[in-house]
Amino acid sequence: MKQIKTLLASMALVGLVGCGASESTNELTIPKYSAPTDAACNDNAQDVNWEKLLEANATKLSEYRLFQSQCNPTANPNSRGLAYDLSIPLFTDYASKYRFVFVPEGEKASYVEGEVFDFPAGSVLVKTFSMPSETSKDSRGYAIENVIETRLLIRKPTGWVARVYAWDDNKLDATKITSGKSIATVLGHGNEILQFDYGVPAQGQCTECHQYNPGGDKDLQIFSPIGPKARYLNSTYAYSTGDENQIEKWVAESLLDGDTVPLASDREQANVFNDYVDVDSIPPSEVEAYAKEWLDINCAHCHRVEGGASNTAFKSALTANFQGKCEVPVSGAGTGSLIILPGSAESSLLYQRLYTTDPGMTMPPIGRATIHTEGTALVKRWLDSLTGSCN
Amino acid sequence: MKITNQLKLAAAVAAGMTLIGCGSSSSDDGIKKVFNCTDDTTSGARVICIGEADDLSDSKVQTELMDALLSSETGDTFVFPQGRYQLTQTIAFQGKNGDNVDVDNLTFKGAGMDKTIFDVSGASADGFKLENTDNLVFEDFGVYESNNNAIKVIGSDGVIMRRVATVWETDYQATNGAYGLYPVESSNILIEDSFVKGSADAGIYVGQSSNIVVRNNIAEKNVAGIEIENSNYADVYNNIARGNTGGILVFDLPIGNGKYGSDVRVFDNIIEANNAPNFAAGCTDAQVAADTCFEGGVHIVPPGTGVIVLSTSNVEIYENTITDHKTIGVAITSYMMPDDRVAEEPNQNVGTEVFKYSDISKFADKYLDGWSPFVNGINIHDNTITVAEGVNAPEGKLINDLLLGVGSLQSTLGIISGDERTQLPSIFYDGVGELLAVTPYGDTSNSIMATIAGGIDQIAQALDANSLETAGERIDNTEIIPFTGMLYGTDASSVCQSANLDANNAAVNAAAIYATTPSAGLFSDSGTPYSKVELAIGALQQETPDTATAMALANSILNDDSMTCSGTAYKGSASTATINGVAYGCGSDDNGDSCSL
Repeated sequence: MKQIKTLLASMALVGLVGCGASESTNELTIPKYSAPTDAACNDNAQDVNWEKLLEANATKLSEYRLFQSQCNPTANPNSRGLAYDLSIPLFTDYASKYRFVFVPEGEKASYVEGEVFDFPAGSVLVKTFSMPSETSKDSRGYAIENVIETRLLIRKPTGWVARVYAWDDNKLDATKITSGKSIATVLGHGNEILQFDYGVPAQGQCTECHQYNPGGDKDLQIFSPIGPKARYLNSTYAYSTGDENQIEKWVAESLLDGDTVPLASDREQANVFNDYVDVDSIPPSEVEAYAKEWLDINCAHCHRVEGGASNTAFKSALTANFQGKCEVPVSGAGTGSLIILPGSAESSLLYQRLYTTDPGMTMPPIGRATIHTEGTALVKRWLDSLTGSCN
Repeated sequence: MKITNQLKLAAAVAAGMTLIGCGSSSSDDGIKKVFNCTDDTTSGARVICIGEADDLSDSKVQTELMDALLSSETGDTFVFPQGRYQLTQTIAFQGKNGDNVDVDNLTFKGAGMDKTIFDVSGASADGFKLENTDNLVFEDFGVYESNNNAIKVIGSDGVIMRRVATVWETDYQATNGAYGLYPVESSNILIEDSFVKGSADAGIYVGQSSNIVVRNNIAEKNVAGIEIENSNYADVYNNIARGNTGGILVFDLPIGNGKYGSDVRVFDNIIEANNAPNFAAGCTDAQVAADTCFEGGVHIVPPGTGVIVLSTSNVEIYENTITDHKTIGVAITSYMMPDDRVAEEPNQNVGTEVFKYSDISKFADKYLDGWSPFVNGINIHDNTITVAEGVNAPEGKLINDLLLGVGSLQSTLGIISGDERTQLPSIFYDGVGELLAVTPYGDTSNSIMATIAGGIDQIAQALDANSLETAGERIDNTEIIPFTGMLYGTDASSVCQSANLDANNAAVNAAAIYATTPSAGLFSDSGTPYSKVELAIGALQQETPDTATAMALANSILNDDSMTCSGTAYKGSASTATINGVAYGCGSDDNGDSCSL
């Protein structure tokens, strides 16, 4: 990733052009995006094609008939589709994420303590990644974004499978891809311009994050969604009918079995944190909770006893004891930093690997070509606030 | 010692590879792209050809390999074409195919480790990363220039890496990737006839695993050539480790995962001239100044070290040729060397300062987890050990302070003069762990470490009783810590060396830097042990300097009888990797010269 101050952008480019031996004198500009007009889009308002979904092999995303407009995967789901949001989202290079849950008619998911809800066969979780021109709140929205990819997690009778659909250049439909794709991206972020390759994952990479070994037994590994856990859904969503708690809404819409849901006071809950929450506004007494929640959603799918990074001494699942303070790394090119050195983010391997884009050092290892300024600021504030020593 | 034919073969291949490396400036030079494969659809034994005769483009090869994994079935063999291919994505597989079906028994096979090369510099992390898949075979290909690890395997029972090359072509570069061949949290691992070069960590690294055979490989110009870490039942034999910072490392680190190492044999290897600078990333100056540096990684390896055993027990090192190291041939150290807080006094203030196991002392939770900082049951015998002539300048954080002290002492006493280098024993033993484990605590019959361990146990019990902890963990009295009695009481549990000879068939110097027998004056009033260097300097600083005592101590730093055992020293037994019903290792598929030693 290159981070170039806006004021220096044109100057820096002169240097870049020189290196590349190119004759071009184009300046680095922030692109503007616009979605296809309604007239260009096929109407697809009919029932979801549940049979097709279970086959999970459609070439075109539109074949599943998930959304009323064939080219807009960010609104107006068909059948019983419902938009949802997570109180703390997993960072993916500042892409906007549009999440929808579909549960077949007559079926319901079950509430599960600590882990992802148990969804019935035929369910599908749909997440569209879309890149804005700039990361500010008012720069987001389907109409002014570059819709990149739509990922499906489909619950077959035998378990979850993942499919990745990359949006065609004309943005009228998306096509199934299996081996990933790199999208050259220029993105405004405050007074900086970020230039990076956004990585659409290969299908085989999905399991790098979406894998879970019950009891830590690697022979029992299952494929699992990450986000739809009670603690991240136990938050308010602005539905067209008004603000409502998502868990209540799911029960009301018969997507979630109310009999399995504990009393509101007994439901786990994470704080709301996103790029528009000022880190400095979080009360000191709550910084640790926020930071651990951020580390849970961003890291704990691997960094837990049941995950792919179980061999390291960093474990950040909220459902178990946090591990990392004063712990020693087991790998990382001979690094000399402890995972967490209380009081110093800069000297903590945890922060070093979040606040970098060096290949091989970057964590998470996929889906991040930029530094998450806001999330790392939260982690830094927490680590810097920790007292005690490792002596 | 004899070199078997296998090793000569691997050496020849490696030499060929070096030539190709030197001659190639652009990536495609030197290796012709060749497709020579026929698909076989026999269920359970399918052969899937990667690439097509008329399309061997990088993207074709990458896409086909990824798609083949998505549609894989148990028993598949993926055959790679000859040629050098640029990959832009990690080849990742987590044990299930694209339809969520468990898949095991996969074979990845190329045309030869110098003929099929994947340059994975375009992938952001590992080259190959496979998880939760049993019985994996990697054979006859190379993985070059990974930004992280070249081939990482996690959670696999049954791994064969055979004639595989992992290479970073630029020498001694901190930005080279971490591990070359990297099985972790796995079991039944065979790594043979492979070539690893240029890793900024360990070329071959086996971690948190068991039943391991590493043989007939060449590891050169890595920070660590071959490293067995937090693993048990490993045989490392008939390898060549040369030009690394440290040749072969056997480490057991306090990682808190309940996985700790022991029962490792290192034999019949050629370990030569591992004098490379330590180019691992290491600590920043600010971290060193603030004393916040983690001292257990490979960045502490002293350049010029043949073999290091760090806090691992039951290790036999024999019949190796360990030559031309500028610092030390074989170093055996407890974890007291990197971090003396392993012996700190436990904090008893349950409920006010101590709320969990890790509050008791720096390493209390690791002791309770089953880790031990000691080296016991070490037997170093029948090795040929020589020191590089004239370049025995000691470096390296692991023992730097001590060695600086040794140099200063030797100068003061006139043992060396002018710009002469510090003299060190060929076999270096810290001895301080043993001293703590055999010295009675006060007037009690328990040793100092036994008392510390007993205290930790009592406090852990109090934490449980007060429901501050629920795990009910206790230190393993019999195996882990000298809880009662003496850990080093028998020769089988001692650190022993015998019949280690130099090039002239003379016995090599071997010594401990701390006294290993309890006596008065070995500890400060506050309980800190004195090294022989400190004792000697103390003798010189007396009102009437005791030069004779100082000289005797200085000489005992170069050679003493701390590792001389009269009885039967620790004897390891052969480790075996059993993969798909086939056993590999000495006495199984190998009854060759190495195994007869």
